Amino acid sequence: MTAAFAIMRVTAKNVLGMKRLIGFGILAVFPAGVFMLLARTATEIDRAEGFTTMSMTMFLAVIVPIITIVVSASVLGAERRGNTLSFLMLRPLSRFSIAGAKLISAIVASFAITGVGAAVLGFVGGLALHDFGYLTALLAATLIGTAGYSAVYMPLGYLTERSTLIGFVYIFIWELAIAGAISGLSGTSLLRITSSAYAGLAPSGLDIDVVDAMIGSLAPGAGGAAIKVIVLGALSILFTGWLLRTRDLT
Amino acid sequence: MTPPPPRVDRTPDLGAIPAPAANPAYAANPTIVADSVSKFFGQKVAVSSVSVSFGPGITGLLGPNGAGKTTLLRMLSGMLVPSEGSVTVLGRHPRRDPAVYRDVGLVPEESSIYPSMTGREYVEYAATLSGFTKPRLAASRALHEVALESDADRSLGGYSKGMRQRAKVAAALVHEPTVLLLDEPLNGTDPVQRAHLIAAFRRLADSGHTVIVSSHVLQEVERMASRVIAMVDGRLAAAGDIHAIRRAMSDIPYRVTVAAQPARPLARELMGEESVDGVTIDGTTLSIETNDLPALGTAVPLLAHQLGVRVTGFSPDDESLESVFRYLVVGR
Repeated sequence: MTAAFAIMRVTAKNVLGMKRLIGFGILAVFPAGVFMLLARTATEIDRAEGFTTMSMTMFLAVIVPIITIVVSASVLGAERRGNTLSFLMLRPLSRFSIAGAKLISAIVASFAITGVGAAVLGFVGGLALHDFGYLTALLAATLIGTAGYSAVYMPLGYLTERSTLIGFVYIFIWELAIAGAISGLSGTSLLRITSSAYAGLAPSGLDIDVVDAMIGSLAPGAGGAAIKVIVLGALSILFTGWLLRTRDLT
Repeated sequence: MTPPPPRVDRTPDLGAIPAPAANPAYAANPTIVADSVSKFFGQKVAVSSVSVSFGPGITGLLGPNGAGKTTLLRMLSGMLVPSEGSVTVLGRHPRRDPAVYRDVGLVPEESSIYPSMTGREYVEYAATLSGFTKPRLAASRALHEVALESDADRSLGGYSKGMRQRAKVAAALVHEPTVLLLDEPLNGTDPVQRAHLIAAFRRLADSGHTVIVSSHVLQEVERMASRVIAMVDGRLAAAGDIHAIRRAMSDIPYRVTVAAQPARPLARELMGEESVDGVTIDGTTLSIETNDLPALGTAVPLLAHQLGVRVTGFSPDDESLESVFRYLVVGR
């Protein structure tokens, strides 16, 4: 087993405690539960609108960021505050490879929860709307969103104990209020980037008004969103590696 | 009552360039060199311009709480970046060249364990991170070294403090480092475990490893270390062999306890000796302050013989590390 793989395995195990798995697991499948209740009595058109709302404004806009921010902020933050950073860092490993292993751990651990939520919601949506294209689109968009938020909140979790609070302020003030109101800021919003990927991949039955509100001035498409998140991930590794190299490890 | 002597500040004037042979702050064959290192935390100066080097063998790093020894050890290990000056370990800068950690092991003072892991998993993880392809074998060897094999498959969260300490030592030893940095390594260990760990550290030192032990338990450092570095208020207060440090404190009289029967005539005669600064009597025990220990050693039996006094004990009180440390820290 290589050192990087060992870091990923240990980190994923440490950040996914049983309590967190159960709590976040329930949170992740909550939109699917709400949609199932709604779909029982709704018309086909209402189902489409309801699924779009559940998948975009609840799941991708709130649940994926909350879970990912909490998990990814703790992959390095918990090592620092749990005094295990010296154990990890005083090893013959490049700081950038440690940062890379930690980022992949954050994405894998977060997606282990958000991916389940996406799969369940996509499955019930696919059943209700008779198209399982929603399932694959939601899984892909969730992965993109999870990777994007992980790239931002892993280094932030290392820098400050308040990263989760900052994350929630970011979601509710910046993403949902400011970037939502000013369409020119869509390119800076991880939610809009994620939503554009979802809109680009999902079948055409999504409610167009909800989609327009969520993607702002961005064009639907997964390719651009994926590239942006890959660039963000690379910058995150470089920044975190630099932090680990230059700052005190306490 | 004589006033306490002023605090002894024996910070060697080291200059910028290490001079290994003459200065006691420098080891003869250094593996770790700290050159004028300082560390500031905001307005607080934790370590101030310390120049020191360490070589094979055990060096004790001593100081009261807040003296800066943990900060210095963290700078030596690369955990902290010096605010000023530089640290090299085996000729390399630990912050720029992580490859040096193939040869460095650290036992930090803080907990630094993953409570959900077993002892074996913890040490195996350390071995894997250090590049071992067969970490299980290396982990078993290290666990055996600290006598933790029988409890190795229990969760670290259920370990006693002493067992956690031994697990940390095993994780630091697993890759057989040339340099071992130990911050209060015996904390929480019982006397048997302590003796076992001290023997392990000694074996490493005897086989040419550099072992630096930061501790406030002076008796244990005295049992382990051939050389001590004492820090007070973030500065180097003294360095070298403990007896040499004591001898260098010529401005502080030695204290010697002499058991004599009868004691009073001997005390009266000793007061006339040039080497004696003061004598107090407590029953049959004389407490003597002297500026010349060898001269006192000659005078006591001679006078005792002349006076017909039976001397049953003669022991210098303050050649111990504890007394030297007390002089350095509180000046008495």
